Amino acid sequence: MSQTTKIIIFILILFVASSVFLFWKSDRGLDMDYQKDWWSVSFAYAKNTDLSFVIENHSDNNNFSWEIISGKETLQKSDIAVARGEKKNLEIDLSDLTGRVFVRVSDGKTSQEIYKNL
Amino acid sequence: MFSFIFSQLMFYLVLALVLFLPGYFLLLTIFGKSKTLSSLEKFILSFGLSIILVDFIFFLYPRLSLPLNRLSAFLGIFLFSATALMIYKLKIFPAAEVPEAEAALFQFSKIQFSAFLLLIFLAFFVKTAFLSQTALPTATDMGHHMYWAKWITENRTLPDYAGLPDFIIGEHIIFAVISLLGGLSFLSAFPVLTLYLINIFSLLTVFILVLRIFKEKRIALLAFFLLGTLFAVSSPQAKFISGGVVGNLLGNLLLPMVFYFFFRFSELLFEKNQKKLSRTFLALALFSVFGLFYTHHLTAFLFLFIFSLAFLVFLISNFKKAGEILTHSFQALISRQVFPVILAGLIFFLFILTPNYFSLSATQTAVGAAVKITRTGLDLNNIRSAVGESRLALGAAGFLLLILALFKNKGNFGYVLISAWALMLYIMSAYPKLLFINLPSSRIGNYLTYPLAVLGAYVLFQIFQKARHYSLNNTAKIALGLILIFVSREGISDSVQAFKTNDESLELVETFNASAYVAKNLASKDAVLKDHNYLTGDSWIKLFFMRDYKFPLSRGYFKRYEDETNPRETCTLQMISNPGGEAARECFAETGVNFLMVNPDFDGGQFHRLSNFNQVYSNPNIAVFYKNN
Repeated sequence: MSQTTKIIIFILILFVASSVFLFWKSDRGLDMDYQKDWWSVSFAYAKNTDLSFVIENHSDNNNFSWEIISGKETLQKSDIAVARGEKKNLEIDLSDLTGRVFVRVSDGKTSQEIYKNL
Repeated sequence: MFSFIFSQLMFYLVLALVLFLPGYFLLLTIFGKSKTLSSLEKFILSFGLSIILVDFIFFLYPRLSLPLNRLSAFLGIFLFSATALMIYKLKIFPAAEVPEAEAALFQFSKIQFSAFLLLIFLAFFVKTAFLSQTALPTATDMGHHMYWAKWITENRTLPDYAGLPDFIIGEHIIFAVISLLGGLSFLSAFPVLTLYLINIFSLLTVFILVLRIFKEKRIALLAFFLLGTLFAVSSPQAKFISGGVVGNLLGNLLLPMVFYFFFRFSELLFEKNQKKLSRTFLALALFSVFGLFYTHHLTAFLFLFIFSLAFLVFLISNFKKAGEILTHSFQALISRQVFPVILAGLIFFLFILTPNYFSLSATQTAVGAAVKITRTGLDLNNIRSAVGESRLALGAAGFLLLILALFKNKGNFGYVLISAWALMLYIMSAYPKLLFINLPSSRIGNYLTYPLAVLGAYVLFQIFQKARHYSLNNTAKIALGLILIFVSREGISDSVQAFKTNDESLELVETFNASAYVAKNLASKDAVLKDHNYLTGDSWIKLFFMRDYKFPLSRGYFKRYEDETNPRETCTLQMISNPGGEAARECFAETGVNFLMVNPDFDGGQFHRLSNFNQVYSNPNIAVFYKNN
């Protein structure tokens, strides 16, 4: 085998090795769950007055508590288990509400809230 | 695991199909199995030529009303390659003798061979280590480019870029075709890896260019060392790969390739029995120039200046033979090898696909008196930090030495080319006023690393040669060793500093998650505004919507709104920074923006105070607000 052929093969091997490694690293980086600890809460319907919401969990903490708050009054509250990588939709059936209504979700350590002005 | 292996295999097969086979078969048709090009040269040049060929193949599709899909993309490349192979089979190649010295150019001593492998390994190692932290799709430029590549795959035709002169079709076709054929997502490492390959091949192209010009393997190895192994990360190397500076990386691949072909043409210009071969190289040079014009306007612009200077200096330094040079060159231009290439190039330019930057307004922005401070030229400190102090010093010494060598080698167009490459880039980046150009000086300054590395290699080699020749004492040898250590230390520390990057994967997936949420809730009359200052990977958000290049709207860097030399709209600033203000209210009415993606810590407060915004999505780094009236 000539030297130039060896050089070409060497370059190809290095590129393939680098490429496999970088694809693997990038796949893990883009994986919502891999070595990540976060979760999100969002309204199931962004545009209307429906208060149904979704908890999407990408953390090790599986137990969430949530409450619907209007002014200083808690209208509804409960706990829910959402496993890592899972999304849970919570149907909320509340009507005749006015003002700003919050959905507050906590995993025991941190809390996040979303709201609609009705 | 299986899908990972399958996608990997597809990626390599597609790379071979798109970025190797067309160029390889073109060279096979032209040179057959002759040794005019070594196998290493064929391998390296096939890559650059394939990029250009693939572009030209797909430029024809809209004209022929062919959709660009997986099957048609495969057939286009396959038909070209098969035709080239058929021509090769039918063609009779005269036996070509290659001079012994030329054949020996690619035969390395054991030490040289090992050194080359080591340099290649180190270049890969450092770049891969850097990219392992930065290969995620976060870079702004890359996001913009991949929008257009994805646009091609979704619309199955070529874009007209809506009048945006900053984008050129040659920057996007290969990504679109690789994605189409390999079924690869743009939100993966494949765009970065494609750029990585382009970067590696640009280093290899410089290697064969230097080897051909100086006929000295040690200079070529030193050039590879100064360009690819040291400073392996700094701009325009791995940082440009992760940053998605597509045009510049392609330009730095095609420019040395163009020089390579011109040099080989010039070498044989006066060889009576090599006329045909010389003209073949000229044809390949001009074909590559056309490719360059379709790929990156700045590099093409630089090429025109560099080549003009080189040709002028070559004529002046060979004053007595100037008439002969011009006559031979003209005869070559109208020869049956070259003229069809010129004609085909012009037909493509005028009738098939005219690059979108070929407009009066685009030309006016590149030519004229510079006003912005970023365009008035770099001072020595700027250039030093752009190319590295040691490389600048070595390059400057190499330039002077090469000019001296030119007096002895007036007929060597390669010497002139390397000198002109460095000198013209220096003038254009440091004194743009002299040439009446109005372009970002730092962007031109980055190109200097290539010729300076070559010149640095040349001077280092000369010093070592002289030291050996005069059997210098140990003190002198130590002094030379110190130069190398100094250069290496700077090059390595430059790379090490660049490694101080944060892991942005968490912020990135949060951006993508929020983008998917907005995309799911988006109706055709809705409009989105996102923030560029505090969101990670925000330029990639548009790939979730694929509505328009300028969708979603973006609040840019704050300083841009204060730039007096380039006044711009302030709606994107007002709608996030002061959404309740009178100006913002008018902007909302004018733009129809009703979804806003911002960082909750920096920009959530102003929305919380208003009653017409609902916060509809929340994760630790992104809040999405919906304007409800």
